[in-house]
Amino acid sequence: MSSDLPQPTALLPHRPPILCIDRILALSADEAVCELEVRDGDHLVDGALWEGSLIEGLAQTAAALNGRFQTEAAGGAPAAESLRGLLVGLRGLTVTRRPRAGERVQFRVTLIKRLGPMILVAGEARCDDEVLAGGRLKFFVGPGA
Amino acid sequence: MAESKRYTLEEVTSIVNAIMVDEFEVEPADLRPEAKLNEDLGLDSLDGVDMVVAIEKAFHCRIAEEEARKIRSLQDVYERVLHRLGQSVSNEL
Repeated sequence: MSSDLPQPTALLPHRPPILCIDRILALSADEAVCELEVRDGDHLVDGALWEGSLIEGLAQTAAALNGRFQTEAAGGAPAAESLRGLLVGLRGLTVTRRPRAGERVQFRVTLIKRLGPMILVAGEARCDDEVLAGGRLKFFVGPGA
Repeated sequence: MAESKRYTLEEVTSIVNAIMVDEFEVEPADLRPEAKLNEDLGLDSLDGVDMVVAIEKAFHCRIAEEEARKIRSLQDVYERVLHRLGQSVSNEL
């Protein structure tokens, strides 16, 4: 894991208890990998993480990808409004299992296409080698989102 | 080096129209070249990125953002695809 990787809060507008990722594990122009440890007692955890939080974790990983893009575009810290985004579409989404308390979930999103304020990514949530959820996610990002 | 496949305008039209029907539930009867994607076929700004990705996948080409922004009608789609494939519409007619 690179020590150069930013904290999630540097790239995402989300804050606890809505923040669904603990750390960024990898970040490039077209891929982001983030991790969450599921802890009993945390928001939306009742022995296992709520299915919707798997989708939210993928969305926040995509937000990290957008945050990197916006940082590059701005040549430094991006404007807060450029980090905003709305999840506007899901396609082919499957959730096979909720991760249990104590498990670590790895969220990976890969950029398919960026077109103006629209971003299309493929996302996958895993525990070790087991795929928990996956599908395509579409976002509207930037001012107005 | 393998040559890239050449498409006729008729083939491009058929493939693009199939994408419109299969991916965006456009009525086949509405698929006229002059049809505006937004006003006539009901695609919105959220559909645009999906349409571009579907076309890129079908024709193994890349459509740049500035090109995509100019697309208004089905005819524009056909022309953009042929352009990206290095073919001109006039040559195909």
